[in-house]
Amino acid sequence: MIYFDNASTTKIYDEVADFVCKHSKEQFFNPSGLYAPALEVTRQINDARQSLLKFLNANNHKILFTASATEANNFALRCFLQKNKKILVSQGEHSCVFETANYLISQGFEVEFVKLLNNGTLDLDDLENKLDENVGLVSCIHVSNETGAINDVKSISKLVKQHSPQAIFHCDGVQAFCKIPVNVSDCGIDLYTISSHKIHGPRGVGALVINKNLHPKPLIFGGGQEFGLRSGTENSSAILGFTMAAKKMQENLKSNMAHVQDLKTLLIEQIQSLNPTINGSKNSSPNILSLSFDGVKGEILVHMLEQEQIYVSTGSSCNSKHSGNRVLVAMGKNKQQEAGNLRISFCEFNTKEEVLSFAHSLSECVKKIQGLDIWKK
Amino acid sequence: MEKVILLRFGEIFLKGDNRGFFENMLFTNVQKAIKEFDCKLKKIAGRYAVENYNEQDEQAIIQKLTKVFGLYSLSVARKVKTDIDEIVNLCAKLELTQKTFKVEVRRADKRFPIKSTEFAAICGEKILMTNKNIKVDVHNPETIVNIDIREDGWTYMFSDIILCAGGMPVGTSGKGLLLLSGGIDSPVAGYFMGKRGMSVECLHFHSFPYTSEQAKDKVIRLAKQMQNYIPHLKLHILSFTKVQEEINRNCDRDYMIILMRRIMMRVAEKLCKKIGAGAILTGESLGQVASQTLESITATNSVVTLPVFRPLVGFDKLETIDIAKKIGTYEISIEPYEDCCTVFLPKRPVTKPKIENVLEQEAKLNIDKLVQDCLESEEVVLI
Repeated sequence: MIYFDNASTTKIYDEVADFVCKHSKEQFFNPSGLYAPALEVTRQINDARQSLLKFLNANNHKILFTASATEANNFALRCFLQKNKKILVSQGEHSCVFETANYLISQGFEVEFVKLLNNGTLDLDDLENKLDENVGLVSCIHVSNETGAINDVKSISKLVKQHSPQAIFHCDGVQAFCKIPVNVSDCGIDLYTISSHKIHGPRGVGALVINKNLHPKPLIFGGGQEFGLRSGTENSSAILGFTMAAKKMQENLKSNMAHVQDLKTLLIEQIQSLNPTINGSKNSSPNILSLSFDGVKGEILVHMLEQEQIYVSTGSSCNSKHSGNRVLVAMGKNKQQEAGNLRISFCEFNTKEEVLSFAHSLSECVKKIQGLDIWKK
Repeated sequence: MEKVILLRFGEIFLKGDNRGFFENMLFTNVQKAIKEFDCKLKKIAGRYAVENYNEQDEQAIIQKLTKVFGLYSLSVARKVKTDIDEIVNLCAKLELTQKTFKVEVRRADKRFPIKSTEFAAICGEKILMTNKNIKVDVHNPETIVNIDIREDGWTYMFSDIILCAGGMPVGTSGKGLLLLSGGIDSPVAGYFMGKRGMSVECLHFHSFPYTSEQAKDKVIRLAKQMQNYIPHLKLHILSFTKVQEEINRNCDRDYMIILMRRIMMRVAEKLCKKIGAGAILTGESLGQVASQTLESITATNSVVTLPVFRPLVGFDKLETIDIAKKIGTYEISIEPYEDCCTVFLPKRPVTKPKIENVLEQEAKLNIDKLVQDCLESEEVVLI
């Protein structure tokens, strides 16, 4: 099996899986309990918060654990709303931000979508045009889940603070955290979303990093867990597993980045003769490569590769239930390039041999489909 | 007093000497439909009754029964011994919510000593004593209290009549093979043939990797949904990939659809012979798409000798959609997974194919081998 769909989800680290299993069996105590073993779990969770904040260089922030990054993004958009203030959302957002924005429009909020450049990054001129004193929240993805395009969040944040001093800046960092260096404080980010299962941690846990000066409305009412903002018994074992995976990835960040970048470069070299269109800029995230081939439907390619136990995707899994690729359209791609999209995403477990074998299979499949001439007539 | 569900037959009433065959098949189908419930199915003169069921299962049982072809209607009834006092006592206990009512007595058991109209008056009086705010209206009552005095010594009292699916018991009109694509039409076509008593097996052409596993899964779920109406539905899945690739490689692309369909029909006929089916069933509707013009249907029909039933041939799309919604297949059918016909779609499909041109295209293919290979790729899914 060759698994090149790590932007969709990753294989949990063995030691993390073992730890989560052991912890769930031995330290299963409800952190809200008043006895010592429960307090111990609370202490572990609080240590986890501090570790994650440190990895993110978030100095004036707290961290709120959620059940997913989708939940954290929903929280970011729905619980920090300022009265009569406009919301700006980039056209390149993950569907959990994009659809929440659409929901807010249906509820009477003023939401504007900021354009993308054809390299997949945010159009800063368009952002600047749309920023004014009435903007209350700006949401922009850090690394695009579709193309790997890296947004210059520091410049975006500067623009936001300059033109809309009261605006909160939210950044969805799911594809950035532990994949590229992240410095939340230095970039002036108020809210930052991260996810566990994208970094070899367990499913079912995400988090929102929140500037301590902000006072959101609660998302879920109940027992008052997570600072009273998100009630529900903490998924303590998964939270600790998340942190453990993050720690390992942070420690190996540089070498991992170099490794996946090598794989990406090698793959691009190997498939040059197929004349792929690379969607997104050359400076995209080292682990994500978005490609289109002339006259080739991405979905067919995925299924052909699947026959050889090679797993890639046509883009965000969270979009696979919708037709078309909204982000590629926003980048000005034509219909063929949009439907032809193939997303390859690496992780530290992948090898050069896999890339070579993949490149070979991909070439065969692309040639076969191009030979079928499905689209040209 | 016991609650029972009375079941009335549909068209079986028109049958003559062979009526027993139809009744037995219906009995078996009803039994299958409610086998998950703890209850007893009984034959009583001219109808069936579900007895000894748990009160909390009543609605679920009714739901199942309304989908059994061959049943015309059903009623939840109270069953008492045929005894004047018992019946009258039961009337006295009835609580009606309507404003007007009438009582109708049917005296199948002529040994019952009071005439129907007289007994209706007696029972009506009792009901009026319990229900102070209700009046008798013999012409236009809001509800009718039916009192059915049967020959077997039991009397059944009911008011609501729930319509069932009608038609003929599945299994009484031979077997058909339905071409099930994943779209809206074919499950509805299967439904209609089931309604005429036909046993249905389904054939789906899968085109992996040009279509996805999800497309296949969708068809399996469609077949499962159809099974609510058609017991013992079997699904045959054949790989059509090679056929499409060969046509694409060798033939004029504008003939893709007509060539595909002619091969599908040939495959279907062979499969029919293997499984003992006597007809091919399709969801075609005249003129709906290029492959469903009279000329196209003629061209696809001409490769088989078995009858091809197209129950939707005169249906508007909206009429089909209404039924698809009613039988619960619509929501599955509109899921966005492509079926095998949409991948190799030509820009300008031939709408009025000339048979000599089609034959010229087919001469470029080894049809017999393609049909055989396709049949050999069979995967049977028991739903």
